[in-house]
Amino acid sequence: MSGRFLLRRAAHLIAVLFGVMTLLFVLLRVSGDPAASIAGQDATPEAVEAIREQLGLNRPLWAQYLTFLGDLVRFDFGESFQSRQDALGMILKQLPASLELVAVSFLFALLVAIPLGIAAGMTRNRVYQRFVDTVVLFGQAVPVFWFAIVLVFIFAVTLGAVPSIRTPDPLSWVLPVVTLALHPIARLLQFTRAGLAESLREDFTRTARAKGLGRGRVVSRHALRPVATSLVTVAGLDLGQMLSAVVLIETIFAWPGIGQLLVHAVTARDYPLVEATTFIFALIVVVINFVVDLTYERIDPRVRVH
Amino acid sequence: MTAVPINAPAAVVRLRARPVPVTLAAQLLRRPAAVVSLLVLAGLAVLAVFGPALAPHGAEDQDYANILAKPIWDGGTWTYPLGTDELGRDLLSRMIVGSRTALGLAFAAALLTGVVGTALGLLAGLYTRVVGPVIMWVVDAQLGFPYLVLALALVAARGPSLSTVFLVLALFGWVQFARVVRAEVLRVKTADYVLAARGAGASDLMIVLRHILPNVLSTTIVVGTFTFSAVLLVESGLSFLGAGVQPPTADWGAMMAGGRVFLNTSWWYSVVPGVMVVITVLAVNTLGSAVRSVLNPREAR
Repeated sequence: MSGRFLLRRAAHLIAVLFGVMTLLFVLLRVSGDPAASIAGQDATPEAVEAIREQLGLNRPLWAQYLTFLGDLVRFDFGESFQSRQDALGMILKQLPASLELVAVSFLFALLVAIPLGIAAGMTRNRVYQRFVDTVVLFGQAVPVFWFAIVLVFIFAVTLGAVPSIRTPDPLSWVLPVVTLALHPIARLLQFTRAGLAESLREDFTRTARAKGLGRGRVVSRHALRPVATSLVTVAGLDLGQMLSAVVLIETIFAWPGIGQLLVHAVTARDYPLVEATTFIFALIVVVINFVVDLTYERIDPRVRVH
Repeated sequence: MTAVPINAPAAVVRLRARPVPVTLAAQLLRRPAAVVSLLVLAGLAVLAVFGPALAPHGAEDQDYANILAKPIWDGGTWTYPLGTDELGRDLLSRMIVGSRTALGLAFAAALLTGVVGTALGLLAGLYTRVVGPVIMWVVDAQLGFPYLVLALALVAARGPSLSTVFLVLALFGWVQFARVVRAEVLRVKTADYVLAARGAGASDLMIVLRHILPNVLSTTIVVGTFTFSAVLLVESGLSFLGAGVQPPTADWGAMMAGGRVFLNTSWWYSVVPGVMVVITVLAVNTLGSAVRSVLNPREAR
C-alpha cells in the first residue's frame, strides 16, 4: 500500500470524524433545548435553569463546543443519568452483542446473495430470473421490523420452532440474523447479477472464452473481478444501513446490544448515554468506510492514481 | 440525443424536443408495471386526502364494549371489518386515517429535502473551491451516521413531537440529491452547450436555470421516488420505536408497535398496517425504476 494514498485517506478520516462530532454537537445542543427536554414537560422554569447550570448549557456556545470535542476525543461521556454508571462502560459491555449480530448477519447475507447472484448473472432461466426479481423487489420494500414481526408470528408464535427473543439457545439467532440480512441480500443479489451480466458482455470475457477457457474459469478469473469493486461499495453501504436496522432488530428480539441501549436512553432522556451511543455508532460506520476505501486500493489498482 | 451541427440551418436548431414531463408521461403509460403503481398510488393519495371522511369510524373513537374485537375472517362483524385495538378503536379506520400521517409526512419531507438537496448539489457542483468542499464535508459527516441513530439523537434533544419527526425526515435524503446532482453538474459543466452559452455571455444563474437544471431534473425525479420510500421506512421505524408520531394520532408505524404485544391473539393488528407500508414502497419503487429506464434506457437494470 502506498504511503501517500494511506496518508490521504487518513486525513480524510480525520476530517470526517471532525464533521461527525460537529454535526452531533449541532443536533444535540443547538437544534433543541436539551435542558427542557431532560426536565420533561411539567418542569418549572427554575428546575430547567438548574439543569442548564449543572450541564454547563448556559456557557457560550463556542466554549460548550470545545468541551464537547475534548470529551469526545478522550471518550469521556460522563455518567448515565439513570444508572449513574460510566456511559462508555455501559456501551462497551453491550457492544459485542451488536457487533456479533451484525457480523453474522452480514456473512449470512454474503453467503446467500453472492452464489445466487452469480447464478442469476449466468443463467437465462426465466423462472429463476423472476424469483431473483421478486427477492430484490420485496427485499428492499419490506420494513425490517415488519418482516421481523411476521417471522416471529409464523415461526415462534404459531410453529414454536424458534425462540422469539434472545436466549442461550443458539436457535434464538435464527430470526434476528435472517431479518437483518434481508436488505443486504436483496441489494447484493441485485448488484452481483447486474455486474456479472454486464462484464460477461465485455470484450475481455469474450477474449477469455475465445482462447478456450471453460465457463467456470471465465467467470471466476475474469468476469467477476470488476464486479468485486462495486460489491465492496455496496457491502460497505449495506453494513452502514445494517447498523440502523440493528436498532430495530435488537428492540424486537430483546437483544442486549447498543441499539437497545440507545432506544432506552432516548426514551429515558438519558442525555450522556445518547451522546455516547450515537458517537460510537458513527465511529463504527466511519471505520467501516475507511476499511472499504483501503480495500478498493487492494482490488482495484486504478484507485491509487486518484 | 443527437448533436446538432454548428452550421446547421436555423430552422433545425430551433426545433425543440418535447418537454421532458410530456414524453415521460407518454412512455410511462405504455408500461403496465408503471400504470399499476400509478393507480395504486392514486388510491393511496385518495385515502390520505379524504381519509377521515372515508373511514367508517373516528380514528380515536373508543368502544369499550368491543376491545380487541375479531376481524371479519375470524368471526367478527362488519361493524369492525379488521377488528379493534386494545382501546376499542376501529383498526380499519385507524389504518385509513393513518395513511394521511405516514404518507403526508413522507411526501412533504421528501419534497423539501429534494429541493434543498438539489440546490446544495448545484452549488457544490458550480463552486468547487470553497462552497463545494464544505457541502461535501457535511454530506460525509451525515453519511457517517446510521440514519436511524441520527434520528433518535435528534428526538432525544428535541423531545418527540410531530415537528421533530418532520425535521428528522426532512434532514434525511438531501445527501443523496446533493451527491447525485453535484456529480451531474460536474459532468455537464464542461459540455459544449454550456461552454457555448458561457461564451455568449450568459450569467451563472442563467446557465444554471436554462442549461444545467433541465439536465439534472430527470435524475432528481428518480432519486426523489426512492427517497420517498426511504423516508416512509424511516418514519414508520421511528414511530415503531415510540420516537416518532405520538399517540393517540393514528400512524402505520405506531400501529405495528401497538399490535406487537397482541401477536398471540390478534396478529392482524400489527401485520396489516405493515402491508400498507409494503404496498406503498413497492408501488413507489416500481414507478421509480420505470421512470429511470424511460429517462435512461442504458442504465435500466
